[in-house]
Amino acid sequence: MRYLFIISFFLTACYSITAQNEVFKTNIQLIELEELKEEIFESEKEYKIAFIFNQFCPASRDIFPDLDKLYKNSIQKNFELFIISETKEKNKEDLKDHLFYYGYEEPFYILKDKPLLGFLKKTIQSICEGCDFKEMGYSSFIIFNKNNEVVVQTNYNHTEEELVSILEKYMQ
Amino acid sequence: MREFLIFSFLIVFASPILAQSNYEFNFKNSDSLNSYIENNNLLFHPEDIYIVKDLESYKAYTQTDFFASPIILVFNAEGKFLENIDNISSEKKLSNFKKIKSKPKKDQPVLEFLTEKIVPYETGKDFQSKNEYSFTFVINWLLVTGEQKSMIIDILNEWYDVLSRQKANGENIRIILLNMDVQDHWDLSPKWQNYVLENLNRS
Repeated sequence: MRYLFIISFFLTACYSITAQNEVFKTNIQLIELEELKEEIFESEKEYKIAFIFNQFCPASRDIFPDLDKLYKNSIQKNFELFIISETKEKNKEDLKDHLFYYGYEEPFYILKDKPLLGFLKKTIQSICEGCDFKEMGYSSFIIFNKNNEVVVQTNYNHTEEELVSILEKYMQ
Repeated sequence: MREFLIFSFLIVFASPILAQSNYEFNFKNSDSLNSYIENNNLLFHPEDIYIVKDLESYKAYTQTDFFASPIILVFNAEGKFLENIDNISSEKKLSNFKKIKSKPKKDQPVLEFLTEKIVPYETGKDFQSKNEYSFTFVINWLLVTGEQKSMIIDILNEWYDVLSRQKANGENIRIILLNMDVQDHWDLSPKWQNYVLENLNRS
């Protein structure tokens, strides 16, 4: 019984050992808003998810482990993820540290031409003219289909469970 | 002599303050540790797990500021103590070692004080002391139960995960997962075990 226990303990540890030996790299890109827009709309993926993120926003931090799990566990990768961060260019290292700490490998985009005021308004309006930016906040997201039509636009009235459930549907 | 021992024991256990309040100490063995690790999905590499060697070592350990959990003790390449890291400062400091204090803290024991009191959980052999690491991170942990358990398990996995990631990325560090529970293998008589628990759980 004791040996069985030890064996199962080692088997359990195996996954973590494998994971620990992989070199980890964060994925942060500095980009102009127009370039980001092009990247989203030129993507050939079935779904394009533009997620607004702020590392100091509790809502962003709360939902991200679930998003991360979906991203890492997705098999088909029928989607492309664009995490748009409000982090300032000069604070790139802070964002990098945050992503490193949690092991987030998702593609993060820091906007080079981030407006001093109205980040959400300018960013959301730029990538989605019909979206109501006033109802959106950090951890809100827009999902476009292959033809760049808006399939889903979330807002701050969605609960975390609702947001995760939507992501589950599209991050296959 | 016996009275002296008892008295010194009381003094020793009166001082420590654990970060985790209301923790009830109990003697643990390899079965309880194994099942705790497995049932709670603690992603610890067995080679990194350490326990306290014996009661004398435990007594000395409780007399220091190091006796707290969950917390990370950071030592530099010379084995000098730099600082404690808790769950507030962990994100900043564990992801970027440049943010760890470089000046050793005065009047704190050196790493050797700790390592001569602990043994690897897997082998039980004496600690192999090699000062060839840029940093040694000692993660203190206990077999917590109750409401705080899930939160603490998450924190421990988070800490171990990020340090393992640093290691995989080439940082020359050592991780010591130090279980701070009292151990069955110290072979104390039932009377002494009760006495130890009474004092530990009172403080």
